[in-house]
Amino acid sequence: MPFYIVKTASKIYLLNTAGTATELTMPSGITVVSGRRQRLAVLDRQVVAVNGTSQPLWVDPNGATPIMRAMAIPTPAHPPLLSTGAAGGLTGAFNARVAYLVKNAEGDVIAHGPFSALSSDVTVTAQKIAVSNIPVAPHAAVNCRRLSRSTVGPGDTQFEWLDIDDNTTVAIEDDLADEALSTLPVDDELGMPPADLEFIVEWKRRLWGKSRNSIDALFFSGDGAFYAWPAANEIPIPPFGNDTTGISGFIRRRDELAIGRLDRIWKIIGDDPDNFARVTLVEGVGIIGPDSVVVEKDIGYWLAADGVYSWGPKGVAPESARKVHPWFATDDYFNRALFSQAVGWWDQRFGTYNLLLAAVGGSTLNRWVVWQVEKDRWFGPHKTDAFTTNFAALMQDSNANAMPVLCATNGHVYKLNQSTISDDGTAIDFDTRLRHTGKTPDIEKVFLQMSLLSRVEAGGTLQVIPALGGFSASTQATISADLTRGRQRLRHISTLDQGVGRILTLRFRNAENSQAVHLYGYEIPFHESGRR
Amino acid sequence: MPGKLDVYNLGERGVVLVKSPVHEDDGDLILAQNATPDPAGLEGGIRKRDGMTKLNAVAMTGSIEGAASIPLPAPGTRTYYVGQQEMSGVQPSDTWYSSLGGITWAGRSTPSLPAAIWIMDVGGTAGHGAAISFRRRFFYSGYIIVGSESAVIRVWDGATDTELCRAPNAQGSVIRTETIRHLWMHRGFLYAIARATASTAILRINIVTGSLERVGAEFGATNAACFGLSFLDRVWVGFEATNGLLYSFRNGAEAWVLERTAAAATHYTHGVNYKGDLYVGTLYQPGTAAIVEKRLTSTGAWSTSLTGPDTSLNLFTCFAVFNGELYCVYKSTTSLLVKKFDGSSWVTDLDVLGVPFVNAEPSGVLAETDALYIVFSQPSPAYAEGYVLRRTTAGAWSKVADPPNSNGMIAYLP
Repeated sequence: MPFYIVKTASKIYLLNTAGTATELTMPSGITVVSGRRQRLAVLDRQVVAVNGTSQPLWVDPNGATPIMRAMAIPTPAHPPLLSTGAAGGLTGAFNARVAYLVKNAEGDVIAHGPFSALSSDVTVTAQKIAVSNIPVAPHAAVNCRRLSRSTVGPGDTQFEWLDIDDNTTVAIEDDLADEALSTLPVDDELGMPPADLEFIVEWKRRLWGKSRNSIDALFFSGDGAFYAWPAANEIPIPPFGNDTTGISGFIRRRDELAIGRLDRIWKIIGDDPDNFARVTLVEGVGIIGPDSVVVEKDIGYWLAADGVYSWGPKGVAPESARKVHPWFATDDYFNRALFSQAVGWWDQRFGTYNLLLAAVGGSTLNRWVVWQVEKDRWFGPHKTDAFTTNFAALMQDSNANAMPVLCATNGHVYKLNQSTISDDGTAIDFDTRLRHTGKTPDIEKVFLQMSLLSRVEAGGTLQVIPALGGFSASTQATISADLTRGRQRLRHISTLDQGVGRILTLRFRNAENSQAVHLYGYEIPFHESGRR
Repeated sequence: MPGKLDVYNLGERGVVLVKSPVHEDDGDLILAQNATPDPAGLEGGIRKRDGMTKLNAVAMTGSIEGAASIPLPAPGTRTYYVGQQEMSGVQPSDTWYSSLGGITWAGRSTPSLPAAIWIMDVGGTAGHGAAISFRRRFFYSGYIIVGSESAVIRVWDGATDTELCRAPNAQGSVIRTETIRHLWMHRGFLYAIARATASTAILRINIVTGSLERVGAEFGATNAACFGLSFLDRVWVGFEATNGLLYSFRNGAEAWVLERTAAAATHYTHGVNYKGDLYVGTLYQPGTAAIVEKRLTSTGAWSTSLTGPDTSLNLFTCFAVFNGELYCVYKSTTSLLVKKFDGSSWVTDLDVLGVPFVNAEPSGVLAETDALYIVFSQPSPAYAEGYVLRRTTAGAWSKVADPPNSNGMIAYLP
């Protein structure tokens, strides 16, 4: 059964599928940053949360309650000090290093910080090596220090030597023979993660991120290691310094990872650091809304500056330009200044890409549009009067079925696709305007009685609002249609006040709470009265 | 000239804003606020969109600025299990006692054991069983009561009880392994003490495949292992023998290293890593007070950390680190004390007999974030029944369960 991690302006919660929220305790020294989106990735059962807090978080979900810790396991500030110890079995010169580890209750290493600098050499003669001044980690999660050492010489390679299963011991002696050291050299694919990570995504068993401290660089972790970010794991994403955003989003497909800037998109190909390569995906199209990115069935969808695009096996394609280009390319519908805040999600039930936006003049994400991908048709902009939306996500319910939700400024998460036909007790304002119709737009016509066909409902009234005249005809008196009838002949569209018109536009509206509306079609007879 | 508009493809093309008014087609919409097609049922028309309901009845504090579904099992309240044992040849119908949250306990018959497998054989030489929780399951040892088969390790995930593996017979012998005395984890492997009548083997078990291998050489008749633990990246095992012995085994090594030989007539009973140093308890025969020994990691030197108050048959056992302090139980014929150590001084945290509870056998311990559990078992039908004590972080002790046939095993799910 899955669970949810929810970030509000001041806290982070664990929310279970039954809706019970439990505040999670922040690690010492890390605070929630109001106004910043939380972004998460999961790698090998460990959850990483970035951007929403003053430092990236590592959430270990494997205990009775999730434990939030600083993601960065620090590098020890100094190496251990080696000296001659009691009589023992070693002879020769050696050196050593130390690293901070986090082990779980079963003794598995679940986080491994970088190794310290190399200690000074020590020469022993039939003695133990005395290790002192072992650094103590300033990180509450660290419960082990791992010592590595060279073979006699000292050799150039460090091998695992000794795990000190605490964060308190500062001295130890040991005389483990060279041949008893770990067979393989210590893991050098280590390093601290970049600070102030803004974006994070898992791809090819690695985490990939962008830091605000280096906006034109892509960083990636070690294989399967959320904690290990070697310094060499950095790929520059040009052009450098040509804007203040730098990398503006990721699109993670099965075999390719797209790295967007505002005006172009690169992609990363390859399998490991030896062959990861950056190649151009498209120029002139970028990612403006990092949280608008959705990948479904290996096709990515996102919001660029001028509309919604897709990226699949056939390449990058504009998707909104065919039908709703004005939504995204004009200032008539949405506040384009907030496109960078847009949130996308996939709705499995309807096969739709959904995009949360701000209405023109609005400062909150109070509208959403829906694109039914397979049939290439758009619906919306939708709205709710029940709350102010601030985020959206695709969750899993208790049966692991897809469950899209809207998240509100009032601290509630709302499940979409409920059969209530009510937004948690508030009416849904159904408002549909049909095409300009009239078949012959230059001929004046008298429109007669309208016949409306709809699903038979238990109650409710549909408002039919005609506008008759030319291209800018004003609306006429509202016609009420009884939704319990199924088929109803309504009054004449043409009235004494507004007898004839070239073009008819119809608007259907219902804002009754818990009232379903299903419209099948209509018929309107007319007579042409000639050309004026 | 008469005409007629017949429109039955409402919304078929969705919102279309890129055509002039005279070029629009039937099925085009100018606005579709809260309108949607219904591919799930009524394709062809349009309808009002579905509604929304609150997921969380109680609002979280502040505007929600991010949410994600984590496709991992949800953390939650744990269910604790205490094993029961057969008495006088009868396996109790309640094979376990369990509790959601650790406060209220009740007997339960699941996991129900297959015929001929008992959790423990009190009447024989098996000794206590063992259990350990790991990766949302728990592993426990069972004893085969018939035939010549060796002891078994089983896995319970809350729904299904399966056998993981069976211990091999004693080396080069048909003598079966009668019991698994202790289970613990080290480097992702399950370790087990497998005891036959005249030998002890330490087994390393792959919990995915159930395959097992013996660690180092088998120990002979005079060495019976009591407990094991992971410490300093090595496996440590304490023995009862003519003298108590403490061995360690480094990963990749070929032989056990004798780390400590206790004073005469002493057993090593249990131990734990506390603040980087190793603390182990001993059992002394009448005439000598049991002690807690400490191995200082920095030098490897041993010292006595605590001496028991009595000189009857007495021991220290059930070591655990809880709430930053070290706990253990001292038992003699006349005392039953829970001792506590903060790194500098030992105090009696609970006089169990003074509560009063009967002088049962301290057999299992589990330290959780919010509570410490100590399980007292009934050593044989001649003794009183066992019980479970629970200590909160605030220091309050309470008896939370009276499992009539407790064998000391304690574990949890998930």
